[in-house]
Amino acid sequence: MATPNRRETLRQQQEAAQAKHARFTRAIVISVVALVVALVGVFVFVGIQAGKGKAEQVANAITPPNAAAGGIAINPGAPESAPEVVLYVDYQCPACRNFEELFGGELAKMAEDGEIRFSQVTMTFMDKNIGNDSSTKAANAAVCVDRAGVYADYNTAVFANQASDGSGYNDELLRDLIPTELGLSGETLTAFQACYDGSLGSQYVEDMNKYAYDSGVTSTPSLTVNGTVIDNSTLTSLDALKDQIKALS
Amino acid sequence: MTRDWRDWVGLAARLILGSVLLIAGLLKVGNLGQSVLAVQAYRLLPYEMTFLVGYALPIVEIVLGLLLIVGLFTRWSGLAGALLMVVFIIGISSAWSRGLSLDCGCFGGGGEISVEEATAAYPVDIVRDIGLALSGIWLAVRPESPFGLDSRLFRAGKVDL
Repeated sequence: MATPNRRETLRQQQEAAQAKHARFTRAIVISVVALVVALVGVFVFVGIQAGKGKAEQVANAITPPNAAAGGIAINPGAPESAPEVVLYVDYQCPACRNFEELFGGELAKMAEDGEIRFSQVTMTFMDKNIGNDSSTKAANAAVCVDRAGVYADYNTAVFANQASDGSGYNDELLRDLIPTELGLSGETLTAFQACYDGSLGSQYVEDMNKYAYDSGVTSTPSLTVNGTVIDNSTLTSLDALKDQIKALS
Repeated sequence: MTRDWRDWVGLAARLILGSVLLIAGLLKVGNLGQSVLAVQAYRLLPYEMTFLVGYALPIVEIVLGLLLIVGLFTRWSGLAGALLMVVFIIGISSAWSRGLSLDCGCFGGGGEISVEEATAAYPVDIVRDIGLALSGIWLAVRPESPFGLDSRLFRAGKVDL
């Protein structure tokens, strides 16, 4: 009589142990899965928000008056028949400063003479490479200064002040020194500084990043002529630049 | 008791794939902006999607790496790891075939590099990822391996009488 009872008790104990183990396993599985889903979910959500840009943050976002070809037109009055030349730069990219020094003058002259429809797109990826926000600040400032009509000169001044050690641009330089040097004063200066302080150009800056990506530009400096990206290694001289532009016109 | 040699292959596959994924994820998670740039350099996805992938990929790699190292849900983690590697192989091959010269961004970094550097790195990246994909496939087919949580959690209950 004792044997079946003992067997029964053993069986019950074993079943109880198995049920306990099953509950434990289920708890572990559910917790791990929930944790993984939550963690990945948070990153996906933040990623989606980052992809949307700053539209919600900037209520009074401005579009520069000379907005053109995804960027800002240097010579908005240029004839329609002239080839569309777009220069993609990042204000913290050293090669862009070199490009500006080598070719900036010639491109500006061609723009002035109406030989090209010249515009510039400012990108901000160097911020992520360097780990600061100077490219974004300078690009925002340039969008803001377009309302004062001195975009090209501001652009030249920013590059001239590019730090060689990657320390970026400070607010005083971008907000006070350069605009004052360019002759901004009174209400124009105040309006510019309000735009700068409120990052009112930041949405347009983000739009330019997207435009560059959609145009197949992921590095700077890049020059496109009627939509074709020019291989920088072919730009060995001013004549080579002119030839490339002519060839793609 | 002596273990089947294939169990040890499984352990090696888990630790190799797991540690590579974990390290790759950890190196990227501290700079998500750069992770987005690395994704953008491939020019494969719509602009907004590059942010989603750039943000989500590092954490997915970390999670999969940890699961593989501790040996939890080994079959599914191995399968997911193998699929991830297949996606990477396609991405790198695609960049290579389109003449892009980019840093794969596999372990942080990313973006454009010189043609010489890129063409030297592409085959190495692809061979490495094929090896890792094979590790994942092994685990998906035969997840048994020693020192894993799977065997403690899911098989300990089945005691032979």
